[in-house]
Amino acid sequence: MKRHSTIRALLYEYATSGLSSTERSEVEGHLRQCRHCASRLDDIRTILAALPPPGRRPSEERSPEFWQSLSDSVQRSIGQPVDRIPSLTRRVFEEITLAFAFNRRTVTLATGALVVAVLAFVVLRGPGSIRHAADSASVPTEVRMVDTSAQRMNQLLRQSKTLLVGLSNMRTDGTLPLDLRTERVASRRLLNETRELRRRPLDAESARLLDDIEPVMIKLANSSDQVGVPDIELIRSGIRRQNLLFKIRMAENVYGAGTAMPVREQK
Amino acid sequence: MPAADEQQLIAQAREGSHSAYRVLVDRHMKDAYDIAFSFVRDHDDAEDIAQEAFVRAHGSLPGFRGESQFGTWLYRIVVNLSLNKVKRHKAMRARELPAVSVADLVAEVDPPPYSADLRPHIEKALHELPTLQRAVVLLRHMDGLSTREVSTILQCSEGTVKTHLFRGLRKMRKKLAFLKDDIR
Repeated sequence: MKRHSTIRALLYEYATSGLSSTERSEVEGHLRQCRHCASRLDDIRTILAALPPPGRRPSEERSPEFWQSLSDSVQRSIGQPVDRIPSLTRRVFEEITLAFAFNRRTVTLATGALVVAVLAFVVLRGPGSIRHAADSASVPTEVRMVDTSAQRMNQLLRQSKTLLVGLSNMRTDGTLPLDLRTERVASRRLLNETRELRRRPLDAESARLLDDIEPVMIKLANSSDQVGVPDIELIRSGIRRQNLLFKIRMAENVYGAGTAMPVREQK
Repeated sequence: MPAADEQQLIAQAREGSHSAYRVLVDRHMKDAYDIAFSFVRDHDDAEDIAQEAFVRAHGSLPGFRGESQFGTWLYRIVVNLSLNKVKRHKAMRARELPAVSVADLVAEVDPPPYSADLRPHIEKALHELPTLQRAVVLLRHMDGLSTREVSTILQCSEGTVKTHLFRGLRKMRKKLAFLKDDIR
């Protein structure tokens, strides 16, 4: 007679008809004589009957865009070019993001230097610049308009960042109920502000950033009380795909410096 | 032994083919993700693990001898990364888990008659198993891998896989004591 532990290790295979005829005969012979092992078999059968059939897999909750993004990320991480050619802006942002991940200090210094250089260029450039506006009493309205737009843009970016970071960090493992009511209210306000700013004269980069922010806000603003994990993951994947948080942080450096640089003068 | 076309892809990837490795990634990323998720129960963590596993696998391709399927080899990396992640977060997770036992749950609600409604209870019981027992139950029963494949992934003997499977299932049965024997 085989040891109980040997037989018990075979009970799963026995219950799922995974044994050879020889092994099966051995197990059945043992079970006829051992009520303890027979009881263990009942346990196994009971729990197997209760286990759900391999159903919806976690991967099915992710969108096709997510898989594309994951595949792209792997390609980038192993230093291979992505087959699809993203926009120049996106590529630049992605390169900076990667560099930032590996050499934070150098990139911070380089980014700071770049921002200072751009600001200096804009200030010294002439018409439409801050210095020109400040020096000229003939265009005070325009200056106020520019400053207001920049401040509003800065505020929009800051609040959007807070909202998106909160959403990105939201736990979706089922231990807490999903409640997006606060986020929905905030996103509606930010959506209105985004649309208001888009009616103003903006440079291409700022307009593109608002273009990226708007769909996320729309998605959030339209979310229902019964929002599920897949809905949140969809929004999160949109945020990741667009590198949105990074773009916002970068833009904040410009608007947060109190400059009106990204807003063109009105014609 | 990897299938012929997979062997060819691996050989091309070793030689630096961009598209060949992408095919391998696209072919296995969902399984890698599911396995990682079964350990960490978090989409972001599963994504990180899957991505890192592919990056590590690429770096280790020269050492891949082709004695097993590429998938099996890759999933072993996924499992190792997942176990590391679980280990790092174990204390934190213990604090985060609500202090509700299965017994409490059972006391609160009548046991539902259909197995579909038992799912939350079963998932809870499953994820309260020790990590290796949970891994074996998930890989062997839920993902349908063979005992040999699971033993390769977990780097243990087939006997150990069978023992973990038996113990894990039995432990679940004890946790779900309200299950009736006649629901088979």
